[in-house]
Amino acid sequence: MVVTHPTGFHARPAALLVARAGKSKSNVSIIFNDKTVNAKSMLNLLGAGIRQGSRIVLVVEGEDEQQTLADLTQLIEQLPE
Amino acid sequence: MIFQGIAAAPGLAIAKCLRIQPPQQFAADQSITREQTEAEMARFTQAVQQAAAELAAIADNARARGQIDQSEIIEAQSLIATDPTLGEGVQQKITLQLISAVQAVRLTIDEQAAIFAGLEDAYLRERAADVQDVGQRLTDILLGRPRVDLSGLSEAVALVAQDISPSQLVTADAGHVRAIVAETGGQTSHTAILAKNMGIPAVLGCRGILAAVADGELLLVNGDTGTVETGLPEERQAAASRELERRAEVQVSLRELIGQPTRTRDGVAIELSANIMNPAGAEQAVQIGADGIGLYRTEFLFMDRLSAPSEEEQLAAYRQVLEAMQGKPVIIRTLDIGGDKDIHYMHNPVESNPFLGYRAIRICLRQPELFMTQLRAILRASAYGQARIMYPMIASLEEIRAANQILQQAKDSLLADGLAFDANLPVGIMIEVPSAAVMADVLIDAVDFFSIGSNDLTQYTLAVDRLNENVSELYNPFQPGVLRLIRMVAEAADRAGGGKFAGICGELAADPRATLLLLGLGLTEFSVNPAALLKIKKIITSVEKSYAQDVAAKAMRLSTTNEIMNHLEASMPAELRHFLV
Repeated sequence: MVVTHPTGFHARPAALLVARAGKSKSNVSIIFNDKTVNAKSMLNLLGAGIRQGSRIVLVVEGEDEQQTLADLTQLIEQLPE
Repeated sequence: MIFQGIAAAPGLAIAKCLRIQPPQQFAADQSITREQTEAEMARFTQAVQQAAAELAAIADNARARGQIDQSEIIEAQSLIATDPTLGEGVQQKITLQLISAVQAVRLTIDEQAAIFAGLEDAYLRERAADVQDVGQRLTDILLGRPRVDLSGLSEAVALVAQDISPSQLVTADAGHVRAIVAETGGQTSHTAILAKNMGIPAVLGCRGILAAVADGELLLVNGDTGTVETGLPEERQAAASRELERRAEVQVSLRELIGQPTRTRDGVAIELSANIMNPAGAEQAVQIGADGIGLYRTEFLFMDRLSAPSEEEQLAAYRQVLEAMQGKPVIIRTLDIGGDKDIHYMHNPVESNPFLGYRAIRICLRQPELFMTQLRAILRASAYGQARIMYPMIASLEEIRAANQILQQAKDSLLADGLAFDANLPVGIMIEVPSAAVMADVLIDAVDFFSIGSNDLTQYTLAVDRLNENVSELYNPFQPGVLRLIRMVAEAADRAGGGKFAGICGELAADPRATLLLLGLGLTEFSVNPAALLKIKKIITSVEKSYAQDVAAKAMRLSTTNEIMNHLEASMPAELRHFLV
């Protein structure tokens, strides 16, 4: 998917994402620029340098993967400004 | 002694120095035995819990005080403290390298901060400071070390530190922190953002200051110029105190102008607008009651990134500004790059004479796809407010025609796509090339308005590069040759009638010495940086247009820069003269 939030994953969008990913029982990772980062990690997510327009792949594996994927996809698409 | 740093948050303050000492260095050898690893891990886990609890309390307090930005910064720090990547890094170092929890935290934090420091995005680069801030909190807890507590200061202080962390600043007793000075940090650091938010003057990146000052020493901190003065003689202190009182009084009286119409005493309406570079600037413009945006510098949207912003991204930014201004006019200047503003992904060649080279409209006309994308975005945004479009660096009628042709194509394509836009969107040009000023009587027929870019107009007219210190003294917008060009521009718009107007958006518009002159020459729109807006409003609303016309007429009869400047200063009504300093 493509990140549309104007600042990319700056502190607030990243914090929202980490908070939701952290509630999931599944492993959640994001692939960006050929690197895989743990979406439950604020450091990883901010450090990945994801911007507006960045193409990312969201990978969720685990018992609640369907719900987590749906929630996170919606969250990234509708990040508040 | 005067120290020069980066002006990170505006304002002036005189207060006693309070130094925040940099953290102690750790001994290199912090090794532990295999038997101790479990205990060290437990200590780390406990420290993380305590840090998270402390940060949550700080964030809650900030939120309760209505400091939303502050609380969000601290909440992000709380997530860093409990971060699994940090935890894994520390655990590996404790169990595999057999080092203490303190040392393991230090090393892991440094590794993570280094990743941020290497990033392309300036905002994210500054987050290294947040990571270090969390690391400091964790090591302080592990060492049982008292932390600098700024929440209960007993007197007004100027904080001086290697680096003032956001968490320290958020917990600080804002009523007693008069100024912030740090050796590191820049304009986009969280410290700068918070200081501006809290209205505290800040000078960052001020190298060597910490070693040169003592606690209790009086410091004069100027967040407008980025200077810090030490060793103040008594008369300097007294002068600074008087200046502070004066500023406080002036501020109070200026704020009364917010919401009042910008009209001369004899009833002539002036559009007094703000210069901005992003949507946040529009919020600020609204707060000080600007009549509009007279210069929205869109190039900042194109800078500090890897590729040009898409039409949608541009639309979002322009729309945000137009909506914030609630129907007030917004002049959106199309991409003005080149000269001293380079954008690396555009791969423009290095030039020996960039100000006379490939820049602004010249680039846009040669790269129509780039221009088209921006014009479509501006047009689409025009459906959400009163937009005006402005081309920079116009030197001839042919350039206006060429740009308008692409604008027409953009309109046609939007019609074909069924997208809404303001069909009567006014189109204007910057007057900064002398040929455009000389041809103003012809160019006015092709546009709806002029806006004088006094900085470039001055440097092109006088052939002076103001960044070249050997000739920068020759740079002076009050030079009679420059003023004659400004008069030609004002007269051309005035004669054309039909709602056409001439304004000014260069630095001269914000210079109180020039206000009477510009008003008297017939400019009807002034666009200034938000910090200067109320000052200029005070002058405009305190004088009669007819008086300004007399002042301008006399100025135009004088033949040297000095005579003109002396005349303008002497013509300023006594009660407004304090704005001249």
